[in-house]
Amino acid sequence: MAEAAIEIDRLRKSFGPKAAVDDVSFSVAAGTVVGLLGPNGAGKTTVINCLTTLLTPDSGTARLAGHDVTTDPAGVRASVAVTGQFAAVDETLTGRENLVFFGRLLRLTRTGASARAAELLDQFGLSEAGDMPAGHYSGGMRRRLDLAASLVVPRPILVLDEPTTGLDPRSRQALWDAVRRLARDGMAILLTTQYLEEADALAERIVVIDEGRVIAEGTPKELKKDVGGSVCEVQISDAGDRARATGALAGFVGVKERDDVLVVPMRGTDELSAIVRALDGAALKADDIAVHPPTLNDVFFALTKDHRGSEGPAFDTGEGRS
Amino acid sequence: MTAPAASAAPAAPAGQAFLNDVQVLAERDFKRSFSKVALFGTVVQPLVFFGIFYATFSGMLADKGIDYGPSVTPTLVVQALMFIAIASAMALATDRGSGLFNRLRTMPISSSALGAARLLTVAVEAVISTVVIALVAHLAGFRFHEGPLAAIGFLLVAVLFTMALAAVTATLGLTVRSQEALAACLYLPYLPLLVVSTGFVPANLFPGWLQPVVNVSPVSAVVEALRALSDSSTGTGRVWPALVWCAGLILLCGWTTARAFRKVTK
Repeated sequence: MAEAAIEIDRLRKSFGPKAAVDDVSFSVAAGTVVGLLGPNGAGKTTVINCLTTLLTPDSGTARLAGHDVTTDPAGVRASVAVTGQFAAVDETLTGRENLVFFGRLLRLTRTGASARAAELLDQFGLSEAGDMPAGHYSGGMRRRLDLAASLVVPRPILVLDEPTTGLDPRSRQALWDAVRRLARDGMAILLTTQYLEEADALAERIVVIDEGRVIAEGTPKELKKDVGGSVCEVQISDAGDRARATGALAGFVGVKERDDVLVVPMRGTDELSAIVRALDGAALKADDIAVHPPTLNDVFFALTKDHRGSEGPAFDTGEGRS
Repeated sequence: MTAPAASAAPAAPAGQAFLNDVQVLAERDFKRSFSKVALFGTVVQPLVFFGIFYATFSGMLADKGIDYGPSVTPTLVVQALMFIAIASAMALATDRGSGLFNRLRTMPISSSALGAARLLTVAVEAVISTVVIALVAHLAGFRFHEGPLAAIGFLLVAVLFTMALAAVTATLGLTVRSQEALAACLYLPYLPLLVVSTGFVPANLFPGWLQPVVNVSPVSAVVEALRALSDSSTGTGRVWPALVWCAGLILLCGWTTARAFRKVTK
């Protein structure tokens, strides 16, 4: 195929004077997952809404399966399956009725839609709950039903807007497995997420956006190399002690201060004991010491420190809609 | 899954696709209309109101030589239609809140199919309510004195008015953000609109300053039209103001609703 399934070129969308999406370009090839990573309000959902024809871009182009979102929205709608942040199903209908409803809206016959619904319920582990009203489903079941509803009729492109926000780890794993299967079957998948871990688990490539702009793009490995592996976070609430600790840790490269926490990049696990010894040597007692694999916060911290100073973007727990 | 190479929605003729969408969407709405809760609103509630009004006022008015049953029936039909329009807006707000509209807007479905399905649903509910009230009102002396054609006209005016009201409430249902505020916006105007009309009291018995309001009220127009189509003592020429009101509201609020719908996702 000459053209990627999703092809975005210099996309721009403003609300009033504020550019929500500013000059965003990237592409997603068939059979691959691309993660669009960013904090709340970074412009992820605006990008998604432009791609799914809910919004019209101010300038730039977005082509999905060869259809331009501005000149051929009907073609786009026929080629793209969308699963939003909130499970968009009818709560009064049963899971099965929901799937039949969406299937028939996509021009399946009544029997065709029923057969497909049964198949999808089975595939997403919802057969037993199939005849229960969707309003009685757990969060994880609802998300699976929502994803199943997007797949009633095979389409070449799937857009997932924060599909696992608020899910427990097991439901999240089940959803990840489903997404991997779909990519293997040849779908082009664009996934927005606030979690590096999720992008890492699913995406071949990650596009990091902040304040409407692409600030980094690459494979998960490349991005994490920028951050530099795990970090040791030393929490010392007393400002004077913290200043002394900064001195004691001067031998470590790239120590940063975030609120009352000193973030020490680690090159190996053996560095932990070196850090503790350094603090001990200065007779300092940390309130808390923790070792973390790089988080999205760290990625952002590393990527945005140049143009934002020490103030990193605020991530919340993902309850709000960005 | 098979390899998803082909696009969905094989090119069906546009008209056929539209009819399919309206049918599927309306079937879903009907399921909700015929749920126990919804039937309470469309069947039981109007009957309760009928019983209360008739039991309370008919004796007093009979002393004054007024046959209350036939004259209040159109008013109570209008009240039932208002409840249908209110419930319709609440249903729209639910679908907006659940994100269902967002999903439908990303699918190859025309938004006019959504509107048509909703209008079809309220029309069916209006027929149910009107027929139920007319049957029970029969016991209270309500008759179609103008013949079967006028009876059909009675039903058609009721359906048309419900569609007009549903167009008005739909704009609110798609615009007002919180469910509580929406309920207030819908339930507050209903009683003044119903009472400040010729529904319960003739226009000339209102205070002078209120009479112009009573006379131009769309509720008065519809109540008078329904009376004209059931009662032999009034002329059928009084149907026109109701038709003009309904057509005007449907055009105006159909437009505002379409605008509100496009903004739902922004």
